[in-house]
Amino acid sequence: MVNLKRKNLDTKNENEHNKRGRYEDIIPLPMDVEYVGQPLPSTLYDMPSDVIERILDYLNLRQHFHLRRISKHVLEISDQYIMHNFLKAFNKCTSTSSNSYKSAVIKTIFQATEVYIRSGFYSTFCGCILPILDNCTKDHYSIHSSQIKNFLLHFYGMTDNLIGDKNSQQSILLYTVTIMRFFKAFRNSAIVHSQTLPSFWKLIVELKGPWLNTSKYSGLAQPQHFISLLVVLMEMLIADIARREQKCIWKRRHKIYISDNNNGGIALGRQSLFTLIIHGSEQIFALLRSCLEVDLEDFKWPLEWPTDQLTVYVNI
Amino acid sequence: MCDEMPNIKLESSDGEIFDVDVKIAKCSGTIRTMLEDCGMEDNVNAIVPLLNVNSAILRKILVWADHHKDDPLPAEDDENKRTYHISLWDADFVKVDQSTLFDLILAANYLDIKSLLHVTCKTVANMMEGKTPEMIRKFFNIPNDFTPAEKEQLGAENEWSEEE
Repeated sequence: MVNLKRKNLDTKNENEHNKRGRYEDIIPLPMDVEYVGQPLPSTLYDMPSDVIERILDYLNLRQHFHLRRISKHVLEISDQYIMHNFLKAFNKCTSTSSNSYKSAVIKTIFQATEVYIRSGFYSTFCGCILPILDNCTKDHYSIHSSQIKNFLLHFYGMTDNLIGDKNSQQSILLYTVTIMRFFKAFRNSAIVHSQTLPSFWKLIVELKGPWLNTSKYSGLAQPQHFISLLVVLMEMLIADIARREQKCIWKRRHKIYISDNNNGGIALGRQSLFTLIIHGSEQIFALLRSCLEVDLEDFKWPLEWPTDQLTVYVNI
Repeated sequence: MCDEMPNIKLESSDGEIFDVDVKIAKCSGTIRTMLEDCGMEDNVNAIVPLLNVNSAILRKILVWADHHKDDPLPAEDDENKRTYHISLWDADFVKVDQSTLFDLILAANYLDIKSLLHVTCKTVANMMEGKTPEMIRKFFNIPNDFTPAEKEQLGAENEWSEEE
């Protein structure tokens, strides 16, 4: 970094004094001086947001690891800057080379986190995504799926900590909406059975092509199972978007997940069935139903998330 | 060619009048628009008030504009700002105290002088580069307004990549 700074000013005849870096000659503001009867000197702290944004524009993304820890004001600007860059990468992926691996990764990350971003975890997302985004801006893109897995596990863990109770209604609702939208994001997904009774809604979602199974019968009701399912779905969706053939075995919490994405899967009649039994209010049923029935882009995000009691069982 | 151009008067926020070559004044997008839209270009008695720029800063900006008066207009918004180079003359020009540097940024922003804004913002960015949050706060006299819990949370954001 120091080299980069000096590179901008490098001269062949640079003397030893200047090698320390020319900008070190700029005098920092005195900390304890009182300015009586005259306007206070301008400081970085007083700069309007658009000016600070301009300044940050000259720094690379990696520098934001430090910048966002300076002050709340700089953190807000850093969040906007990171989100702007993420959305720029996302839009670029959706307009060009939409089946590339990089494009699939960015789309899937967006799919896995959008519900949380829209629910107030904007800043947490910006902080967690930085290493991946930094990698995306490099010419040679080298994100391994294990890194994306680690990112997601960490992000969901942080949001659960911020919510305070990972078994809370809010936590379960966010996981469930994310899972539903994941189903919808696959190329060939459909509701093959739906039964609504006063106390619960039972539905079966079919994914044609990708195949997923677990080592034993599992009624997934605990948040850690939702997280595991989301991480497996994340890998499957990346393979689905990138049209990649991929077989994965993942051990987590005494359970083994086996997934197989094969482009010939549809022709072979391969499918995965997810049975969901949801106990909740009509409002929650309507929200979850729209996740599956409405196109992802047309989904109407709730202005206020339902707070009614919710229990979800998922069987693969 | 410069001598053939008419002069105009710029008035700083503290009331000082500067008699300036129009070509130099036109380095500023704001002044250029004022002159062209208000038809003030040929009016030698016209005074352009610059309410957000004091005389000390305006004097410095006019020195900068005089040096750069023959430069081509910069591109609208350069995507690769990080590769932007600062000339030796500009590097010397911005060797000022922090308050003056930030006043120059505000003035360049207000007057819409893109090249000067590039130089000054890049200079501040270079000062931040490679520094820890604590060093940046100390250098720019920024108070730390995070609670210990917020600080801890920020520190945890990237743990997942450090663990690898």
